[in-house]
Amino acid sequence: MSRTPGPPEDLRAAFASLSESSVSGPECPSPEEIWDAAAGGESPARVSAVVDHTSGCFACAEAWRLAREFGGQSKMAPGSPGSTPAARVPGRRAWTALAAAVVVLSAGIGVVVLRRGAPSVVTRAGEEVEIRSLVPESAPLPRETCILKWSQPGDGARYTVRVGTEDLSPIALAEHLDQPEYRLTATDLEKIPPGAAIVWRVEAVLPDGRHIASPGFRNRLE
Amino acid sequence: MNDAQTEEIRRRLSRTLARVCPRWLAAHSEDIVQTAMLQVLNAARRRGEGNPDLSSLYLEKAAYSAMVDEIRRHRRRREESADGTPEVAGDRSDANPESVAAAREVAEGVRACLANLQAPRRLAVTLHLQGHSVPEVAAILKWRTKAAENLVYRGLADLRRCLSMKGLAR
Repeated sequence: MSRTPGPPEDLRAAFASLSESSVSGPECPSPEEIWDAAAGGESPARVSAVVDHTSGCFACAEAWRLAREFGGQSKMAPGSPGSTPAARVPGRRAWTALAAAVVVLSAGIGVVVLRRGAPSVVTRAGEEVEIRSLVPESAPLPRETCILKWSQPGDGARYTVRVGTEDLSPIALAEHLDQPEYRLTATDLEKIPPGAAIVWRVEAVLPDGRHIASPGFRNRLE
Repeated sequence: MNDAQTEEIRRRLSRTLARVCPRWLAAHSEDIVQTAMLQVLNAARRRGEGNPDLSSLYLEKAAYSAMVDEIRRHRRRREESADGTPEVAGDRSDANPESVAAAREVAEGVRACLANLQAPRRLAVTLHLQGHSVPEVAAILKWRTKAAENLVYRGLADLRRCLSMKGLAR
């Protein structure tokens, strides 16, 4: 029977087809909000609100898929031939200079979830490995001791951490860290106004070569 | 900003858009690039910097925003003019009217059934229908992977049950 939706692909196609004639309304989130929600740069409550909106607004559902396509197309292989050990690169200018390295190391701050979906890894013992933020979201981060910490996905992991503003301007990049923490300097944060949020993300390489990406984390500054 | 920088931004925006711009919107791609360029330059001006942010992420976001705005404008214009021309006519030229009608019926069923799911299952299933894997659903909604997995599968089961009751699924 031709109208029977079977596997998820059929359901997905049916869902996507609803967008063809849909029109956005005044209550729709802006494209920037949809992008940020899809990238994990919004609060969980806001992300849920945007996703719920897309369940009934198919114009915005299409916008979400497009955001995903933008991110997904930029997927790159890990590893950078030009990277230096424990390289720490503060500031926008330096970030731009290292843009190529950033790209090959895969994903950026904003499209975190879109690009690889911040996958967790399941070990042979069935244990699930993931990276979680150990920085409480409830309290603002002090500028003098602005330390980002995260859970260790395994012994001997090496980390890359990327920090940016909510509008995706890069603040700092650190590579080949052997500890699950990173301290931002006052210089890194000097252009960030009080009360503004930073968005950060961690990628880990385990000794056996597995790569694990965290979702994007968001913390407000003092 | 000099001409070379302007051209560089235009080139990168065009390249970004060429990857993802829907075919039916291709005729407007130059307009979209122009809108995105203005957005990039205005943002630089607001920040008080002469040189715009040329990071790939920033340009991707600008191109994306301009493209979604253009899609929204296009759809509103089409609705106002009651122009029923399908945007993807080329994709459906081989489809017979019966199968098109059946597909539409299923889509409407998905719409109705999705709206009736419990909220967490609806969120999980919506993202899954958007093409996200279970770990991606967990990451986006900041859920544990196991919880996301349960909600996706239970939500899909509910959705299928609902479609079945409507005679749209086995």
